[in-house]
Amino acid sequence: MTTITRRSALALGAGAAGSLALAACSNEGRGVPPGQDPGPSGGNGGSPETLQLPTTVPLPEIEGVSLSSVPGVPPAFTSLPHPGTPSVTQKPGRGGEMDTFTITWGAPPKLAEDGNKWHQAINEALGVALNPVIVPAQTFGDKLVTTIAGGDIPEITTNEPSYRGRSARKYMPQGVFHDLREFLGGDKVLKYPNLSMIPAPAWENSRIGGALYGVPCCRNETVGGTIAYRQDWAERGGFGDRPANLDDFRKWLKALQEGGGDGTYVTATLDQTLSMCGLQVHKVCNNWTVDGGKLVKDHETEEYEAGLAFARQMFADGLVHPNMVQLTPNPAEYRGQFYAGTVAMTNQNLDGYFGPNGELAQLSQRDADAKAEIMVPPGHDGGSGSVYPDLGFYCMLSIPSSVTDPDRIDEILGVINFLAAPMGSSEYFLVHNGVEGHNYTVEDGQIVPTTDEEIRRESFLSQLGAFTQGFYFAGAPADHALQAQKVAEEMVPAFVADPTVGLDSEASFSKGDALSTIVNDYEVGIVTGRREMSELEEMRKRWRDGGGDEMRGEFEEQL
Amino acid sequence: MATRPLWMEKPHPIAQALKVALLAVTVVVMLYPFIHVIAVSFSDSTKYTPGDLLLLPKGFTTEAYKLVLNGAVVPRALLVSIGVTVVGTLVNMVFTVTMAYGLTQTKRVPGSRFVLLIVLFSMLFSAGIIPNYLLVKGLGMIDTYWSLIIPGTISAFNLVVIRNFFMNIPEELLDAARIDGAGELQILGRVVLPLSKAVIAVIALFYGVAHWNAFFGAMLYLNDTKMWPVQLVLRQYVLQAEPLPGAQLEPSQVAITPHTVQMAVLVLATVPILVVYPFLQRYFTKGVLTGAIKG
Amino acid sequence: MSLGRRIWRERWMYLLILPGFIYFVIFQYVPLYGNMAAWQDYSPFLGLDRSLWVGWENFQRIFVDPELIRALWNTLLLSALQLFFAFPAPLLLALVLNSILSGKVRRVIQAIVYLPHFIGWVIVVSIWNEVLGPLGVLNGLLGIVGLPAVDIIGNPAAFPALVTMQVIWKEVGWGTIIFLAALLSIPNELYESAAIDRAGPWRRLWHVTLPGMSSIIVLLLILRLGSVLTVGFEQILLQQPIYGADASQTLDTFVYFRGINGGDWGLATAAGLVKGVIGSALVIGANWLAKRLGGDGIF
Repeated sequence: MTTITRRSALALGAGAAGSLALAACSNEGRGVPPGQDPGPSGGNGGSPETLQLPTTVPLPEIEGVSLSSVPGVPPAFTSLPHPGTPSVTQKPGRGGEMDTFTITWGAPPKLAEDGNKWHQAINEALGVALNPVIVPAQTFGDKLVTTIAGGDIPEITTNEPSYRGRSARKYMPQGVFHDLREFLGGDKVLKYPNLSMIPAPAWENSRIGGALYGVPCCRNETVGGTIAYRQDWAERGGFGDRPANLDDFRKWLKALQEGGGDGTYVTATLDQTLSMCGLQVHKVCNNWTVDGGKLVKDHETEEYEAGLAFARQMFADGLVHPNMVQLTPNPAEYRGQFYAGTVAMTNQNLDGYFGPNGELAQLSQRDADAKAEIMVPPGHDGGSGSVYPDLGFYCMLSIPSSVTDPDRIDEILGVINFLAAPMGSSEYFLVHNGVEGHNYTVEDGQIVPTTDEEIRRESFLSQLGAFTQGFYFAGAPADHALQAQKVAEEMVPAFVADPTVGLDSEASFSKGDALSTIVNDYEVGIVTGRREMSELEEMRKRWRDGGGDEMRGEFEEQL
Repeated sequence: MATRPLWMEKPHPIAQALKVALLAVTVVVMLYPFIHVIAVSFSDSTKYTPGDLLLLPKGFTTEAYKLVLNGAVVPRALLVSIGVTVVGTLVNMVFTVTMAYGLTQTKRVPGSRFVLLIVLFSMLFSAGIIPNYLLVKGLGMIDTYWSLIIPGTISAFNLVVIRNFFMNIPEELLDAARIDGAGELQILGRVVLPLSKAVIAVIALFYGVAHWNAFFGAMLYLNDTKMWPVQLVLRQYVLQAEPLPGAQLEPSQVAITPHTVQMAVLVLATVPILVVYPFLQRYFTKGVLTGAIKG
Repeated sequence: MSLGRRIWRERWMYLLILPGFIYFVIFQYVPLYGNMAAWQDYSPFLGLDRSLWVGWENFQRIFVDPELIRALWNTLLLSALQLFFAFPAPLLLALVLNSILSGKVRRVIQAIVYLPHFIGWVIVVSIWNEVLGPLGVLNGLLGIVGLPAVDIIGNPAAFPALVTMQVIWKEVGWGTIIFLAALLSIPNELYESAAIDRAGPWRRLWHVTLPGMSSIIVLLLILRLGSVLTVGFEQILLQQPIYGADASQTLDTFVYFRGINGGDWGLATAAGLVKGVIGSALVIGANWLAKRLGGDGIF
């Protein structure tokens, strides 16, 4: 993945990484069918033909699972069989310690030596003591770079080469980390059963120059592209049905505001206004689209222009919160506006709506009578608007090339295999929920996490234990998983692929940020009415001259 | 009540009124954010909408403080910060004051002007984080508190400011001491320092506040989260929901800490350093120099 | 006197200088070798010894990039505004504070005005947005008196003034401290004798106060010139999505996006060196000028 615009990262939940898609995109640019392609040979030097991506075996069916009839939609779990079946037959570790390096967003966790029972239990189960270095997300890039420069790279190192840590794309091909195709390629992965269940798109999308520099911590591809809205407002405003096309959608937006009453607005952020109501509805392509062998950037399309004009009109009509520009970069504030009942919409990752702390729970905590629903924006000409699939992973776990002993590499991969345990296995509970009776209890077959803050601080794995497939919300009503799955069934058929996923462009990672800033500038200006629609042409030119064309050329060579 | 010196005329009433009005507005504008932060920290997180400005808490509760203080993280981090700030500032002051005095006689002491230039130009070029990290690592200071103190032993800015004040002490005073047979160390201790209480207090404050607010070095050099100072912990609370632009919002983010808790951490992390200033103000006195000149 | 004897005579002074000198060499100068990366396609994994040498390419790229020229212009504009408004502000406030006769009142006000220095930019920006935003306090008040609303937040034209005011608001009280210390070092006798010579308040300001503070003012001014290409990084980065990069892209934010986030460490290092060279030239020039004008300069 390459260009990441800040707006879309917020809007689409980082996952969709950039990119807006177009109806016109058709399927021309759609990625390779899962599990068939050994990887492009383009990019930085290509790779020996013998190295393959790992094969993927399907998840085992377990009790309590609800499988969707729509292909590609992740399974939902109304409950998990507890204590579950073991997925790892013998302890992967052979004693001693293992250094790990990962990101944290919260307060620093406590560790085994301070009586962290969760950490102690993990060490016991792994047969090796994890020695975690935990790095604040804000400065993760700096810390990783200095650690690499220092030479002592922890044996399991978290990388996020598609997001903040894109600079990693520069040094990874230079050999900092092992190309894991050597140890996991093809059927070799079957030695690590949980890793063999990682879906093919996650492996494909994590390639850099064709190589695999880490095990992707897989997640569902259904992340961004939905909105939560106040159904009670829509009903009060006289449009209780789901809008089916652009005409409907216009009326529906007005109904939301009327139903909300004086001083309420429909959208709070640029993402909600432009990306969701404008671009997704107008079926703009995902980042790039292929037109006769040539790449066309999303903002160069007519669909984009129509979507932008629509968002501009929304702002002019007073449907958008006047504080839009200042709310956009502040999730806590725009979400607060939704809970407080001043705006009709909010957006989150699909998983973020549900669960005990999800958007829906937060809303009803503030206003018990509020009724919210989640939907994919409608397409202007009927059907669904476009949705941009996630890469299917966020971080990857890498093994530094300084580890040369094959036995040690096998041991490390065994540990990662343990951490990747799927839902329904007994290891899953230990990795995701902790120690039963301490970090969580089981009531009526449901997992109930502790509310004790001090015990909650024992959660230390962060991105090391971030492997998920399917929907399950511990501590939430059982039907949340089914609701999430139902939304996913709308999303998956509306997926529009980014034709450049898995391709590399030097210009894209070095100039991408600065370029998306320019685009963002114009978008804010045009939507708020500070700039004219006609300035779009100027934006396109500046983008092309500032590195956009360079990027295009680099990608086209690899198509 | 204050008394007007005999030589000072009574100010014009309009000028006086303007001055009072200006100061009153300034005080209100400067004080308000603190009131807001404190009000939010005592608010009920289910009633407060992040971003709204407050004068009084919304639904008074001390939940946020209980949450923060019941855990071990913030109290521990506060102790770490106090320790690093006290020791660090002492180290800073000893080396800064001695070097600053050593550089006051650039005409007399051969080579000292060159050293002064070295100090000045260190401000203009920086090495970047990687060489600094490698140096600290090479010196074996990773995961020690020294990594937060030694690499910043002297701030070139603070050094030239102190030196500037030292240079303004009348040379006759120093010469008088020299004639009495005092060595340079004695002159520094008995003449220069007593005359420089105000600037010493100012620079100590600069160093102390810099130590207190520092987080980057700790992030880089301390792998052990137990050693984290309060500002690093604070940033984890305050910034987790509001990443710097250019950074990405992570989908896997855990539940966002309520604003009320963020503000409670902010209050706890700020009050200790604010208390220092009123103590230092007592060194903001005049008159020692006056007496010395007369003598 | 021979050089050797002069040095021996000053042995105590050298002893005082030595620890600091060693510190500066080890911690400030040795790591500067890292700036060799400016001539490399630097990778932290390969290090300085194995990264590819690219000659002056990184510097060339700095001077041909149209976005960077815009960033440079923005930096200079913001920096000039701060030099003209934010730099003298603490001096003026210090003079006003110093004229308060009651020590108690003065100390309380001092302690209040320095508070904003301790609030992080994240919170400062959010409070300013609320106060000046479309639904904020300011426009509420204007509405009550029947005036049209002002468009500040998100308006690129307002950005330079806004940034300057934020800096003044946040740092004026903090900056005051150093000037107050300088005011204290002016002997009262000078004021008394000036008053006896029938000098009014303005003439006392001009002939006693300012000369007494001139050396510290010159020092701070010259040092500020040295960092003329640096303007508040976090403050600007946080507000960039609101005002847009055209108004708010500065040298530092550009280098951050292109160099640090994008993995172009060679470019980032080169930009740092360019800043250092320009800063040095300004410091040397300003120091020369200060001496020409009859002052001592700073070295």
